[in-house]
Amino acid sequence: MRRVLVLLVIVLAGCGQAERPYAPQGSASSAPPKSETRPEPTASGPETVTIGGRLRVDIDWPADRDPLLKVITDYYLASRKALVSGSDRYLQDVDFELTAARDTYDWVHRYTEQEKTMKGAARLYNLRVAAVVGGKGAQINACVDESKARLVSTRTGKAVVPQPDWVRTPYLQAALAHRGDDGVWRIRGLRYDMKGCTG
Amino acid sequence: MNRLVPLAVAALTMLAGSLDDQPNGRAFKDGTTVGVDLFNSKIVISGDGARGGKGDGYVLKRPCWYEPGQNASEMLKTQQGLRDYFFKFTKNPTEEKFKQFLKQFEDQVGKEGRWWGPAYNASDPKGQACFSSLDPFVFVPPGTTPPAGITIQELAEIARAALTVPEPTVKLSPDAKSYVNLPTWVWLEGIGEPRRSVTATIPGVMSATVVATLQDIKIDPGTTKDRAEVREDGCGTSGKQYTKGGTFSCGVRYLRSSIDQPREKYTLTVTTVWPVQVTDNVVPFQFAPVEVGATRDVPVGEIQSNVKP
Repeated sequence: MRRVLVLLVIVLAGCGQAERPYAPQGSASSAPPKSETRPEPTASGPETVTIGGRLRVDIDWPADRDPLLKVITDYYLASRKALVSGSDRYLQDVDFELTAARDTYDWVHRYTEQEKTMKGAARLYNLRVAAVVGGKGAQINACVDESKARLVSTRTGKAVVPQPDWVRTPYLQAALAHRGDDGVWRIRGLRYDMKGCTG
Repeated sequence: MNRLVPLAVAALTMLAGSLDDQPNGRAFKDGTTVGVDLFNSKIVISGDGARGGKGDGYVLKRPCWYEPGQNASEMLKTQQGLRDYFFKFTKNPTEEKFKQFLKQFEDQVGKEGRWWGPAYNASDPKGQACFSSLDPFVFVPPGTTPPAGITIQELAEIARAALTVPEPTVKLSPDAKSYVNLPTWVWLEGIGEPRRSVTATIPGVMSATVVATLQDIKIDPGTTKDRAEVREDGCGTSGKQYTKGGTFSCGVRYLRSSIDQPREKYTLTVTTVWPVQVTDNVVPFQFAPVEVGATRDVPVGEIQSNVKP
């Protein structure tokens, strides 16, 4: 059973990023790397994003603001837009490898199919690039505090009971990203540590 | 009884909620630095040295690698079977793009060799970033290993990193408190078999076994030489248990009281030394011994004597 799972993960990972890269958005050789087309963030300090008028997200950008940090903030904002709106189309804003895409769609659907949405306030802090290996692999960490947010029933408008652990307790969310030969950083996997931001 | 049923259901519902409702992704422990937690890997770890016990923090030289997987035909068939996933999860999918994606697998059909994929040790702080740096798969001709492909030496290293040995219990005589110039005998309990082994196997491909054998113990009295004399010549591999009238040859003779020490005690440490060998000489490589220590507090007092004329 374990072998089957392992194989599936390897195989699925393969779909998102090929040995000779598959470029869903066009020719990899002619287009400039997507990371270069994005505005490079430079300012540190707080930034507030309001999603659908229901969820306020405060991002504490560090003084030394690495552009790679946008990998995890983009993921977070897209996943919460999907939760708040009930539509997974926002996940298309994120560059995923296939395994991470499938996992994230499944995670979002777990809540939207139960007619749950999200409201309140969240905070991303202690953003950091934990490790970069060979210029092609990176682990990007963020502490996520959603203790002032609630999962809410879209039918009744009331907070669901019980609230999930990730709403009640700040936790560490990590994105593992691979830079393809086209220069695009794609999320290969997501990790979390429920005790990673409580110290 | 009727009241119990809804309660039980509610409890089960809450339990299910707490198990399912986790953040997106796979759980990991940030800051972990020791041991082996393989991810995306076919490697099987076995042996009595992999269960319980205490490791010494052996760090792999490279915490990620490629492992051999499917042959060309199997891989193509698998990828063709993922068509639904492709169209659901990729941006702006088209039939032409899917065909373009499959072409790299079709190109290898009929060739000898296998597709290799990345795996990593999640216990290594850089394991996950290292894993991310590798390509999702590479096609490798038979009898060759790709750059960053796992080697027999790395497999032995993984076995070595997974190797643990029993944490001993330090026994002393006298037990609760010792006295200046009184021999404090030292021996160990709880070790059991003085040999532990771990095998790391990629089924059908290769295997490496490391064996640790308890050879020696070292005693640190927790103070300087002018305050304690250490005897290790009779320790063997498990110390020397006190026997009335026996010769003191394993332990410590403290020469000063511990009254001026922190908490008014010396901290005695006994370290077991387990040299490690790779069986069958599959790897011409020497590993450092596993060394695991255990401590005991030793309060040392002065013996007061009254001399009457």
